[in-house]
Parts: sequence; structure tokens; C-alpha cells
Amino acid sequence: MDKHFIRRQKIAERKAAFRTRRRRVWESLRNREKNSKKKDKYRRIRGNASQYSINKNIIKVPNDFSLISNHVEALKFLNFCKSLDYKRSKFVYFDFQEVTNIGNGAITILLSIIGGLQDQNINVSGCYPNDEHARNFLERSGFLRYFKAKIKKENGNSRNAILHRGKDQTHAKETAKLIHGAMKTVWGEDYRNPKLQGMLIELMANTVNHAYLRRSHQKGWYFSVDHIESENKVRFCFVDNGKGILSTIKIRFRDKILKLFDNIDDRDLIIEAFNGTFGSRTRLTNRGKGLPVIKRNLEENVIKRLKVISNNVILDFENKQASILEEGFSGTFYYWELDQSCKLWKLK
Amino acid sequence: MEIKIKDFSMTPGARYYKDGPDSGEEFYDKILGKKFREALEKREKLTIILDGTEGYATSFLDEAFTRLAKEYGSKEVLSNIIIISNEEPDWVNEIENYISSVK
Repeated sequence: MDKHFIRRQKIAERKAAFRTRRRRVWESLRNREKNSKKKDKYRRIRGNASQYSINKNIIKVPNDFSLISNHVEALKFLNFCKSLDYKRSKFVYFDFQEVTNIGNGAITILLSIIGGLQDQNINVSGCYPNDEHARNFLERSGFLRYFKAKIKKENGNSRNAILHRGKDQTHAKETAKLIHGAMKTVWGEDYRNPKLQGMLIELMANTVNHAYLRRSHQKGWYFSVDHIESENKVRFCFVDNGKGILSTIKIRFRDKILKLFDNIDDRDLIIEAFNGTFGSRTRLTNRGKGLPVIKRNLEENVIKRLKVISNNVILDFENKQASILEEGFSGTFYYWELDQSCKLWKLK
Repeated sequence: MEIKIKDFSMTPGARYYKDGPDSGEEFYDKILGKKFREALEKREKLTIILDGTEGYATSFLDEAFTRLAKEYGSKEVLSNIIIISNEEPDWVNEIENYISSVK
């Protein structure tokens, strides 16, 4: 046989073998891609399509993310986050890029929702806002202390905090420390404030005992403190992600409501709860005093500008306004302020 | 005899042990119940000083004093204790109401 012919044949065989190998690799890659697409499909967060869900597991935070200046949009977004079915998700990404305004209450609620996700072993990440002011607020708020995040040096020393303590217990020691810090911002001295501390224990105890279903994933309360040193003012938020005051009352005091009121509006029902009308589910006269204590603290000038959002009602105690929300919140959100017009407790 | 609640805890908690540290239930078990019995044996009045702590929840005081009244009876308790609360004077009446409400 021709020497050259044999050589050409060997080369052709090698080329054919190479092509076969290449085709197999290409096919396996294509199959892998197909499979991964399938998996991605399953990993996608399930829920109603919304303006907040950009792509797969990416959630876009509204530009004005504040319960004070934009409560309709903020609540809509937070409800969207709560309503999603994360069961098959491995991660969720919160896109803050276009956010220009952030409120303490809104991120405290968001953090409480994220806490629920983390309890289900879902990784949560996100990006900073492009807007400098919003980024500084986020870094100073204490929100990022719950994540691996880089914080600018000047923002790292902020006294603001979002305290999350325990799922099923009150933590009076930690709240006392934060109250001392707040009194220092307002009065320049490290005073005690027994009424405010008492109110916080009531809020924590209410959350621990009444707010959640027994096996809820999202159990826990969040307490945030925002110091505004230039105005000697401190803003507080307390949030739980439970059933909300209205739902709790309706479930536990159905008979009493029917007995006492013929036809009562949700707004009046929640006002009656703060007036102490319902007592506690234990039917003992001394129980159920937690909510009235909060209202009394406003009346006695211990705190200022008390607002409560629970279920579909927003209560503005200072302006004596109660409104029904189109977009409610299943949980309870308290907001109040402490400034120099509040009662001074010179207790060291 | 005298009890300063701040010696039990600077940060009293809520009602039950399960609610967190330094609860009203714990205060009754460890201090209030024992001291009250001791005071009765010595035929002394028990003075309870509320001042000096970070603050109280209604549930803490209700649990501790209601338990005491259930154990010894409202009349016996009211005639053998003196409550002092200069920082938050409202608590004196409130605690007396808790005790009186026990039948």
C-alpha cells in the first residue's frame, strides 16, 4: 500500500475521532444547560407577577421606600415580599440601586421578612443604592449589620441600631441599653426612662405571646432606633410579622365583639383594643393591659407622634386619625419619637 | 423587712419564665414569696421598694403580686405590705388593685 495513502487515512481517522469527541462534549454541554434551565425554573420564586420582581430571584425595592412619605407603595412592596412562595428558592437578591429615600420603619419590616427567609436557609443578598444619601442612611441604620457588607468608616460608628432579639423571649437588658442611648441623644445625659422601658417590655411580651401562630417561620420582633443628633430627637420602630392586632382580636374575642357591638368598623375595633376594652383571652381583669399602656404613654407625654399600622388600619394617635388602608400589613408596626418636648426623667 | 426589686434585677422582664429572664413568676418564687412568709413569721410588715430599676411591665407586677395574694389571701397581703414607688407613683394603686382583684 502506498505509504502516503496510509498516512492520509490515519489523519482522517484522527480527525473523525476528534469531531466525534467534540460533538459529544458539545452535546453534553447543551444538555447541562438545558438541565440547569429546568432547575432555574424550579428555583424561581413563585408568586404573582409584579413590578417588583425583575428576573428570577431579583426583587426591586421601590425608589421611595418609606412608610412615612410613601406608605401605600412601601406596604405594597412589603406585602409582595411576604406573599412570595420561597419554598424552592436558594437565594433572594434585593435590588436597592434606584432607591433614593429609605425610612427606618420600612427597612425594619423588610429585615423582619428577611429574618423569616434566613430561618428557611434562603441566602439573602443585595446591592447598595446609587443615591449617596440613601446609601448613607442604609449603612447608618444598622440594617447591614445582619449581612456581610462593607460599611464606610464614618457610617460604621453610628449609634443607630436595629435590634432583633430572640424569637420567643423578651430582652429587657438590651432595650434598656438602647433607651439610655436615646436619652443621651435627647437630653445629653444617660438617664433611665422607666415608662418607655415598661412599654417596650409590653410590646415584646405581646409579640412573644400573641402575635404568631405556634409554628410560624417568621417569629420574632425587631426594634430599631434612629438617632437624629442635630435635632436632639430619636425615632423608634417596633415591628412584628405576626397576625396583626385586628386578626388576633377577631379570633380571640369573637363572642365579646358580637356581644358589645352590633356593627363595628375595623378602625373602631383597634381603637377599642388600645382603650383596653377586650382584656385578655384569659378573661382575667388584670390582663391585656399592654396596648393601653402604649396609648397612656402618649397621653402622658412620655413619647410623641405614635403611629400604628396593623392589618388594614393605620392609626395616627397624635392627630386622632384612623384610616383604612387599601394595602394593609399582616403584622404590627409601631412608630414613635422621643424629643425634648417629651417628659424628662432625670433618673440616673 | 425590706425588698428592693433592683437587687433582684435592674431590668425586670415580663410575666412567666418562658417570656424571658427576670420574670414576675421568677421574682415571686425566688424573693417575694419567701420574704413575705419570713415577715409574717417575724410579725413585721414587708416593705417593697420599686424605685431604681429600668422600668416595669404591668405583667411582671401583676404576676408577682397576684400569686402572693392567691397564696395568702388579699386581706392578709394588703395589711402586711408597704409599697414604695416614688419614681412611678401610679404603681402603688395599680399593685393594690392587682391584689384586691384576687378572690
